[in-house]
Amino acid sequence: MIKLKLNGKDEHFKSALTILGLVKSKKLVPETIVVEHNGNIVDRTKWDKVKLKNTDAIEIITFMGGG
Amino acid sequence: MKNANDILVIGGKKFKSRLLLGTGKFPSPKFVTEAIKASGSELVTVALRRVDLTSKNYNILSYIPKGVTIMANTSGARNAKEAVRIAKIARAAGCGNFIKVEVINEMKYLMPDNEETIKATEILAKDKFVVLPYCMADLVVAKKLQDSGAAAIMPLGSPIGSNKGLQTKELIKMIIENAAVPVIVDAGIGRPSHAAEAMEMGADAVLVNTAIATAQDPVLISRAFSLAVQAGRFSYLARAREEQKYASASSPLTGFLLTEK
Repeated sequence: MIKLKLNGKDEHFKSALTILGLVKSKKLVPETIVVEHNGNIVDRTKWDKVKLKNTDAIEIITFMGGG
Repeated sequence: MKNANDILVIGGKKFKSRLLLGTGKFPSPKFVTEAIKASGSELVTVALRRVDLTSKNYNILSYIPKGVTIMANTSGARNAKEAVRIAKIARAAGCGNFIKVEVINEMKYLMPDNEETIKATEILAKDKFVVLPYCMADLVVAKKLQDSGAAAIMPLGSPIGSNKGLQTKELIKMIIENAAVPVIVDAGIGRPSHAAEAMEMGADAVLVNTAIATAQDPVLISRAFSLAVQAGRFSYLARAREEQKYASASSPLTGFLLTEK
């Protein structure tokens, strides 16, 4: 089991997973989001290569209306 | 006609429209698309937010028509460091290199932190962003922003979302008179007449959000703002005369009535 800080909140996952796996498990549309892994932006094409480790911090960001 | 070639250039990019549109607070995203079309705006702002993992998300970018330049803002940033981080995320997300720097840590009037804004502007301009900082209408701040590499200066007319219009009019005039980069009045513009007033006094553009997004008919008022911005711009280019103390007759005073006494 691993623990991730996902958008500021601790969340537990049964097994290790990649960024792509995480995005899929949250049913997010990849084209609409940006993922930051421990403070670094990870290119969408590399999501399946980045394996998440215990205590990693993930930020999932999208564009909203704003002035 | 003089105005046929009246193009606004920001960061090397040309814009025919001088109305910048914010995309926040609209009743639904489809109004964003319609408002952009009705306003003729070619430069619109968006914000970045954490995805809400508990509900359905949409991405505002898919509601912005093709050909329109997107400028992310750094709203939510409380200091220069956070603004820089947000700007980098936006660029990495394919949002282009236009960035509106907005640093706020005072939540009652949402006044910008000018010192942090100048710092962020300098860092981002060096990193090849086209930086449009939102700032207090202050000539010295504007000068420092310009020296830091700002592509335009965006002084506030009045507090964000207040609809109070150009409360800082005289202060914005000083910036317009002295700036070497475009001056865009941002925040506080509540009505098309405020937008016309800003343009008439020589602002290069205005940025409007709340006044359009929260109107009963956001699409119709987009059109009204578009016309107001054009009217104000034409008036500025036509060099409207200053106010005079006394009357000056518009009709010839031939005086023939006097001779018929």
